[in-house]
Amino acid sequence: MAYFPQLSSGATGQYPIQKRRIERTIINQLPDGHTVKFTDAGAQQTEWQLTFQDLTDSEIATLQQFFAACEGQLNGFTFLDPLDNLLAWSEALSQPAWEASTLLQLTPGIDDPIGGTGATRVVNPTGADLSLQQNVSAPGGLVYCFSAYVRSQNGVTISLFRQTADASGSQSYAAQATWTRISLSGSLSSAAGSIAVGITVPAGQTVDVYGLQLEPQPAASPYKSSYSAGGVYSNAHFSQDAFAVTTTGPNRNQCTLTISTR
Amino acid sequence: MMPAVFPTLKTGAVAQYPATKTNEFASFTVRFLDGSDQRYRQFPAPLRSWTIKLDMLDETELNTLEQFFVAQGGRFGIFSFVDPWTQTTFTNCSLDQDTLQCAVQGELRGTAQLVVVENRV
Repeated sequence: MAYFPQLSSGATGQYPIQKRRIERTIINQLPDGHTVKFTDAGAQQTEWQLTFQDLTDSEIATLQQFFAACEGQLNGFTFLDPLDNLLAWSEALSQPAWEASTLLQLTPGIDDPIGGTGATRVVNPTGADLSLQQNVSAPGGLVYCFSAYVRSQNGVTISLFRQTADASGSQSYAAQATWTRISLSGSLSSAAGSIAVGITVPAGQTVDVYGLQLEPQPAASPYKSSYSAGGVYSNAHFSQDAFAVTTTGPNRNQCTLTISTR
Repeated sequence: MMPAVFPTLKTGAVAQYPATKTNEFASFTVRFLDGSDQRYRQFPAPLRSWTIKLDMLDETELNTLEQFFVAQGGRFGIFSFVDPWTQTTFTNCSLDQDTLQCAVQGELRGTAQLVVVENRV
């Protein structure tokens, strides 16, 4: 499956970005103001308008080739929302989207760094390191930033990792007694169609975790909680058949692309 | 995990300036040939609505609004809303839009607009 390319910086979009969420509700309004409502779940649509400026000739050529390969609105592709968390259930680590050893003990409802109770206490009572991870149906070779808030009373060394079928990478961090945001950024040399990211808790240790976030960009942005759907759209289409490029100077190009998905 | 309460910003506020509040009545008017008319009240009480224009939001706040919009299914869902003028809680409100447009002009420069209407109970 084709996927929307990243710029040379590793970003998917530039500011400004516009995003529209579209729903459809059928409403019968009665004369006294009462309403009878029906929702049309099949009409849900999300649309992005990406405005690019000061792209190099190489970057604009990549976008042009991709647009040509898609033949405008005709062919679908995978689009990673630059404004969303690619992980599902970011605050519900016991959901099936997360893969964890059955020996790993997860306690939700722990106080989090923004004053809520969205954090989870992860206890590894075994004698071996255990991991908690999520598979994301996104290209393995792109630039990603995986981030999380962690806390531990014992200065535990935990690690964040990312892996595909043919490559992997990880980094270790010493968790502090106060909430600290840690991140793992970069790309893997991989052609895989999915990537797994997760956290490894050492044997016999306890760590509080909050705000797990995966983004298709080199650095972490403010945390965005997610529920059943992450920001991976596997059947996105361009909303246009024409791709206009304006060259404003040597090696400086600009364009606007509109992408939609149901 | 459908939120049943309209989300607040990080500051705890519901709305920013400029905010608009509307009271809507519904009157039915019968006009006669001699120019006079007879008027009927259709709503037993006015329906309130609030236009919430938000600016300078960060991505977390925008995401919270977006999740709320999706959970509501646009105009379909019902939630409680605290009137930012009177602090009165209206327990049966809906969004008045099936499209939410968020724009991010830069870091900490997100914008969105939501219209909340009171439902007749």
